[in-house]
Amino acid sequence: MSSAVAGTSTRRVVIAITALFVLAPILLITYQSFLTAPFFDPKAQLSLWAYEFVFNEPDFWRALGTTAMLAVGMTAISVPLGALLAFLMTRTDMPGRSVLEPLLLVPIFLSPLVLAFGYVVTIGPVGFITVWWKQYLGTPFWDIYSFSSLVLIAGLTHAPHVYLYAASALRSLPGDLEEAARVTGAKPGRVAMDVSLPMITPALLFSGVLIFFLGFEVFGLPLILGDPQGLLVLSTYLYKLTNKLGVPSYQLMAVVVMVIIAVALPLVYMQRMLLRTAQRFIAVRGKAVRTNLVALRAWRWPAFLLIAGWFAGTVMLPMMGLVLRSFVSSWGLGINLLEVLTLDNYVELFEDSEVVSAIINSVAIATIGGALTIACYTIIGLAQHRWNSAWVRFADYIVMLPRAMPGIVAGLAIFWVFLFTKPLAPLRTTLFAVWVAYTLVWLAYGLRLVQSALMQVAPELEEAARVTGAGVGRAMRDVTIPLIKHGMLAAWLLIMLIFVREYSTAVYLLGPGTEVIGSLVVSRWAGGAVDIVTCLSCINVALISLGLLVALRLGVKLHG
Amino acid sequence: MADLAVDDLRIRLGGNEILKGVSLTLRRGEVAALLGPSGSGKTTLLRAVAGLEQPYAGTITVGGATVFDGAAGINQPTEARGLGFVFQSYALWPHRTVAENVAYSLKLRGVAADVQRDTVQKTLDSLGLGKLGHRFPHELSGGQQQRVAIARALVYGPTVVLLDEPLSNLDAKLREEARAFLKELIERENLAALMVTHDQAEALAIANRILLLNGGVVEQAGTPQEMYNAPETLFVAEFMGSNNHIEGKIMGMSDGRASIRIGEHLLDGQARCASDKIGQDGSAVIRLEGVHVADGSKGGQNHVKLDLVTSMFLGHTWEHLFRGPGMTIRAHHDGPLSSGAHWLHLPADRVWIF
Repeated sequence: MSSAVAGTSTRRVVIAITALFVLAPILLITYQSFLTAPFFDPKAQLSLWAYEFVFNEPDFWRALGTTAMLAVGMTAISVPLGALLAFLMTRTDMPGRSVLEPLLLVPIFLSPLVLAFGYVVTIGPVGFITVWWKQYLGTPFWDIYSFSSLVLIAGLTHAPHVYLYAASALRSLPGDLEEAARVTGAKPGRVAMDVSLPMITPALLFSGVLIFFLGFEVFGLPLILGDPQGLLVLSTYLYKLTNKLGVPSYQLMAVVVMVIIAVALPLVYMQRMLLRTAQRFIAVRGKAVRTNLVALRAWRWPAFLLIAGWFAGTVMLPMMGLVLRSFVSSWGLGINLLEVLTLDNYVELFEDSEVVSAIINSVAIATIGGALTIACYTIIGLAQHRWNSAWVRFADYIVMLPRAMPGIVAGLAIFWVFLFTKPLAPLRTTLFAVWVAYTLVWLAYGLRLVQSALMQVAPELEEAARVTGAGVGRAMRDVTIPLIKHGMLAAWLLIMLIFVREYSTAVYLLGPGTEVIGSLVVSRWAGGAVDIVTCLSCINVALISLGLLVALRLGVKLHG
Repeated sequence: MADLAVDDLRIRLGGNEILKGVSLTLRRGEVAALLGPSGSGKTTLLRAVAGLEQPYAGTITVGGATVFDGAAGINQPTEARGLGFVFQSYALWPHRTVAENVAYSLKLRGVAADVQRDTVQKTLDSLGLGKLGHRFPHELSGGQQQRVAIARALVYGPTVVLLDEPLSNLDAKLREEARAFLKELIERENLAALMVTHDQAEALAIANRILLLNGGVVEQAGTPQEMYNAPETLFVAEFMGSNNHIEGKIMGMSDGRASIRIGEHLLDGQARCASDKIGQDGSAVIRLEGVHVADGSKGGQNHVKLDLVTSMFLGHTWEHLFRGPGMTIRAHHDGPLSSGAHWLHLPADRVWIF
């Protein structure tokens, strides 16, 4: 029966390589966690020592506790806020909806690290707002470096994730269900509580789990906002562990990574299950015609101000602070803003060869690297395409695994793989290693973009090529790929945005030749170079905005 | 020798037995229609012939060459079977022009570019699409798209063409024209055509032979006339045509005749059941056009007197609904009727008793 499923061996090879690509880092981490020393140390022995050490560390438990509280707090803020945003945007006659709609998604594409810098330079101890407040109003009531600030900021910046799922669920809710409730005598508020909300519960549940999961992953915000007070979460604890014992303490890091994966994996699995239920609810009917919107009456403008206020606080405030800070030579109490305005920061920036190569590398890895990444994802997607086999189900689970590795973990794992595998060692200090890590981290996300494009190709279009005489590969080349071109272009643009934004993944791979904007600002911030960091952040945001504009212009849907 | 032969084909999809041993043969110049309700396996059978579904047993022979043999482990891939296939949705590639759609199979076979061009143009001309080669599929009407799909399936000269509900996407008026066009084309090109349809009128009109599938087996196969006029089972009788179905008790049987009691009436008809059903519940089936309004008669064998309930004007005829104790009968009649009771004649040779 082999000939009818021609191309099977190629599919198997692709899936096997994917599995190797995903499993090698995980297996290496697992192996390392059971060693007494780094894997390259000849004295390393198998033992549970590292686990005992980490589990006896009060700092570890504190970090775990902080992470859990952060995740819970974030979820508690993001989910109601995101659901409210979605309801106001899709179901009411609130003014300015069309203007707000693209803006709502902006925080998703901004680097949390950049946002954190923005907050520090505006409402940090010597931020613009803080200083002005002190001059005119006295002691400020907030402390940016407190845990509650961290939770609040994380919650506010993650609300768009909830908005995304809640809004798409609300949009696909057939209007006649609500109208049926109205006709039987329910008032609009009643309809929302009895019909609309229960119908989107699966979407809210899913986004709740997603936010909780992201809470375990956040790195940029706690690194910048938590560190000054010694507030550690698991990811920053891992980062700080790097030199805990004076020598590279790989075994301890591996244990922390194992803990992170152990927590994240069930969450990833839960998301997968919930997303299926959520989509089942959505897929019940096709596009419904929106017939009428809930009239907010007196609440129209307060509702608008609520969203505008959220956007101002979450995006505008830190961004304006960043831009302003990048144009002043120094800042503090008693300094007149007009006297310190300068372009010197940018001039200096472009004299710094490391910074220049970071910018070039970032652009290169986003454009060329992004294209190669999408090419890889497309090959993996095609290998699974219209093939009913245990291999495909296996691959479905495999590609989910990297989701359980936060960027910093995946970066570390790839770093180790390149260190461990002798033939790869020379490539470790090249951009290739960074590209591999990025491609691994975004595998699940990018593959879903490609797969959803593939799913839209009607099977009979491919079958028509087969019956006229094309083999499996030929049919893919002549029919499937030309038909998913637009989907691949859209996926490429989204991956570009994500690669420019990426910061944590490249942290461990940072070195001469591998610097990208994201990882360089992390290291420069640690060195206290506020000028350069704010300039680089502005450039980063400018690149992302440019990409977003192109994407919107080409009509790319900003969510997969 | 048959140009297409399917023998004892069996298919299981996700644990469900979809085809439970189906056989058929088909020669050039013949159209065989696979007819049946949805879920009967007719489309699965068609797709299996093309290699798009995997049987687990049986054989398929195309032009004398075995393309599938479950026992011998032969399974030619779709592209090697050399068939023409017209999809229900036409499946025209949206990124290629009409000419490119049609030329694709020639390109795959390494035909020289100028020969390709000539062949494609000749095929398009013969289907009345001569000037549309440069257009894209979405710029064509439904009927034109269907012809392009046919052109694409025929351009490389396959002897066997498979058609999956080829007319279902056309509107009613166009469908009748396309039906005649398709029949003429198949005869002119001397093709062996296997066609799936769920529309019995379409099957009766186009096919030389009809296979009625039910639950994965061939319930009955035969010419359209046999299928319509001599159904072997209740399922076939009910599937073809418009029928009256009357429940009763089978009273007697002899010489291929049977009688059934319905309330106070005793109807004679053609026996379509075994003699051991005497004394048991049975059904009488008669087509709407088999019932005669026999006003002026004084009753007699197979005559019943029923009240007219309502009348419908169908254009070429009238349909009347009659009801009496234990019996509801619809009848075609060429004119309107006055209200009240009417005598109806159910001729014994038009009544089947199951």
